[in-house]
Amino acid sequence: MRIIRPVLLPCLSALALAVLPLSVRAQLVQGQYETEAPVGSWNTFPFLTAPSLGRGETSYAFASDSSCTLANPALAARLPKLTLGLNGSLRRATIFRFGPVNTGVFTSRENLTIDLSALDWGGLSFRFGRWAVAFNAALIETYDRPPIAFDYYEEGRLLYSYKWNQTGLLRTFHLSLARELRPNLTVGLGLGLLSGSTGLTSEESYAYAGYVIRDDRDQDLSGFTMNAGILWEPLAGLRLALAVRAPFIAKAASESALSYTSVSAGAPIVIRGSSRDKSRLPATVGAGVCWSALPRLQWAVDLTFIDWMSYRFQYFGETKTRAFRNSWKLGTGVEYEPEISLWGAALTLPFRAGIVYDSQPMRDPRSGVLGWTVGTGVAWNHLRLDLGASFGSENGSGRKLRTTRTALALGYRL
Amino acid sequence: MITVRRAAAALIASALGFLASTTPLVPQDIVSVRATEENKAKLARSPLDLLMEWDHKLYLVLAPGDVSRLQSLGIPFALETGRLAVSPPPSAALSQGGLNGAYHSYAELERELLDIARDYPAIAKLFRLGTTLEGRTIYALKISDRPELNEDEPEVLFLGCHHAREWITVEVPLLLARYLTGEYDRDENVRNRVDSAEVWIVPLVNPDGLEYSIQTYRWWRKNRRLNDDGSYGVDLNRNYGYQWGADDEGSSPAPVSDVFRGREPFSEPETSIVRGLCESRDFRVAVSYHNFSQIILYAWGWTRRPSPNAAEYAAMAARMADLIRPVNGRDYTPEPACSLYLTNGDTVDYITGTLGIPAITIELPPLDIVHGGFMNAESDISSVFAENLPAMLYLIDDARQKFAASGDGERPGRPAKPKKGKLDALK
Repeated sequence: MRIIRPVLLPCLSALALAVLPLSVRAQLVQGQYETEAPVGSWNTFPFLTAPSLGRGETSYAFASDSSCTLANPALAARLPKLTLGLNGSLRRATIFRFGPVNTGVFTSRENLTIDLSALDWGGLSFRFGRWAVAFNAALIETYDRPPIAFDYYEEGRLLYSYKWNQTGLLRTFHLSLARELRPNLTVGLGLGLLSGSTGLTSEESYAYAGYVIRDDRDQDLSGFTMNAGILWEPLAGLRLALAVRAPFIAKAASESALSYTSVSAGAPIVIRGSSRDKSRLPATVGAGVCWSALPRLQWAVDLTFIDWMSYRFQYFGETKTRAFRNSWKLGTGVEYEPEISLWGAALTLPFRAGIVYDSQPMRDPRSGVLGWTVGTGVAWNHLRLDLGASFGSENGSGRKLRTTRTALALGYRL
Repeated sequence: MITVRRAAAALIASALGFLASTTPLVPQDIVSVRATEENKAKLARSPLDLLMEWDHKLYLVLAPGDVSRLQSLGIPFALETGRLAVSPPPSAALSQGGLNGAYHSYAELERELLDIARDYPAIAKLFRLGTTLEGRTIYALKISDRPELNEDEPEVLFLGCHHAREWITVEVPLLLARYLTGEYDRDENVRNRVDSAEVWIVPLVNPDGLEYSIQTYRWWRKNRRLNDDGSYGVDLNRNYGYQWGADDEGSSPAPVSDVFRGREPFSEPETSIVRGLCESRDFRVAVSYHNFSQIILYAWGWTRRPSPNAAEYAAMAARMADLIRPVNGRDYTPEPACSLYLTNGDTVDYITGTLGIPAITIELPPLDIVHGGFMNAESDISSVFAENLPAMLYLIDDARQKFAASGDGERPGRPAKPKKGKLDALK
């Protein structure tokens, strides 16, 4: 009960950089950015490379590169004989409420920004006869948050400091197998191996009193996914697709150490935790349409349904309450691929545009991300270079969060 | 006959430590007594388990119930578990295993309270007092013979964890619940207490705050009210209605303050729930656990003027300190709550000022911030409980004696006994 006065009270006051009037919605539960929330959106399936990104984030019925098999394994049979590809992305997201920020310890004047960059996909596929195989490695989720570093000085002397940092990522190593059953019907099956990690560190130093509290948490993530898909071409130029990713268990080997260390007290107090956590991630069903309206002009629509109500998250041995509702994502886009001749070389210059709406699973606040997408590229001979971008604006949390992703893909097709 | 085992104390102590971590319902301790001929003779006639004799001391292994047996022999003893027991090996699972180690989270406490009520239905009944801002339940465990009845017996209240970061204040009242239920069939003294009193235990008044302290920020104190200015939390121990907001020294009107008193008295569901419990019962004495500082506080906190019954409360607090000291040698200082600084709107003043009964705040160890402050080692849980147990039992016995002496509900000079109301009992 003892209140640590008087130095800490000014410290605590200084922590409040500024407080803007908040929306009238009283958010008692974090919602948008829980500990395990991926950066940008809860709905990270399917993974998208630059071409799909620019095309309204559509991928179920449109085969651009082998990454499409992460969405619909059946598309492997519609890829060229051999494809190779790499993709890198720059991601920027704004975030307001996470960890100790705007939940009671620190307040911020504005939304905070996190920037991430990564080589986030590599893949290859090849067809042989009526079979096709694709292999992809992709960075499908990141859990980073803006780091916090706060120092409080008085008369040139450091009295208090606070540091907090959360990082994390999840990769998939995915193998797809597809077969053309009939000239207009293909099916496919995919298996994914998940691998990742998270780390959270906070350190609070009361230099004036000579003690430090430190909290370290580490998790090794793993799991298996299974998805399947079908692609049907009832008419020339029309493709219909259905894809399913089964619900799966994501495992975490979790270790923690909470310590109190005092210069004058001798041995530190350490509380260790260890658990093997299992979280149930939801099933996802996607449907897609791709229609070649005119030569070189294609229009695609994707609808994804995610069963978030079945989500169960376990963290260090305890199942956490996540008041989630089922959510959906609708994207539509066009791709126009004119051919030009440049210095005697035949080039294809795709232009892409689209819009997407991505509803988030939280019941409170009820929010969604509305985005528009653009993309372009150049294809020459067997080589392709594609650029795509998605610009999303969130509505519902009262914070107008933004999420942006820009991707550059390099591909080879035979 | 005394037998001396030729086993290293550390080895046995480590085994006990391991057992303690895997069988949390049966705490075990090592104590030492002076190796006098008189003590040897007394112990020879007792079933107490002698570990070894070393350096003019006899070391005993105490199982649950053995503390009272040792006390009944009149042999002063000192707790040695913290000194002798080594940390359990890393592979040994901690009692609960999560971020909070052996301390109870809300979910873990809920499970344990349900288990106690299920395992001891004849003497324990769990009540759902109400719901917090984030939808968690505040529970009360009633321990008495025929707990489904409102018998004409003295009622005693033990409260824990008004302040989120004070994790050990959940454990001490919870261990009392385990002790009273676990020892009921084995210890006649415990049986007498439970049969002739109604002990109410609310181990966790602030579950929302506790969860935030575990998950996000260890040093969090308040509840999880989203205040109008965007800050979070009301200090529950400044939100009670007696002399609420008497001045800005004993509490703060600023939401960002750690001692923010709230918008109005009992604005918070947690304090409103405790008030509801107090008004529906007829408590004779109440204790609210906090940490740290090792002090025993009584009314008033809101003013430096002594309360009308200050002498009685001071004597009670001094007696408790005397009972605590011999167990581990730790001194708890009895004093009025205003001695350190003024506090208004706190639990002790509310209970004493409104109900007219003694209310005690016990600030558990450590002594100061540099020795852990709000953070106690897991190995301290059982020793802190062990030293507070005699004081807890004293309060129950004191309430029984006064009840018996004064007759049915007569409390001279104090407000009329409130009527007993209905609480929502778990089926």
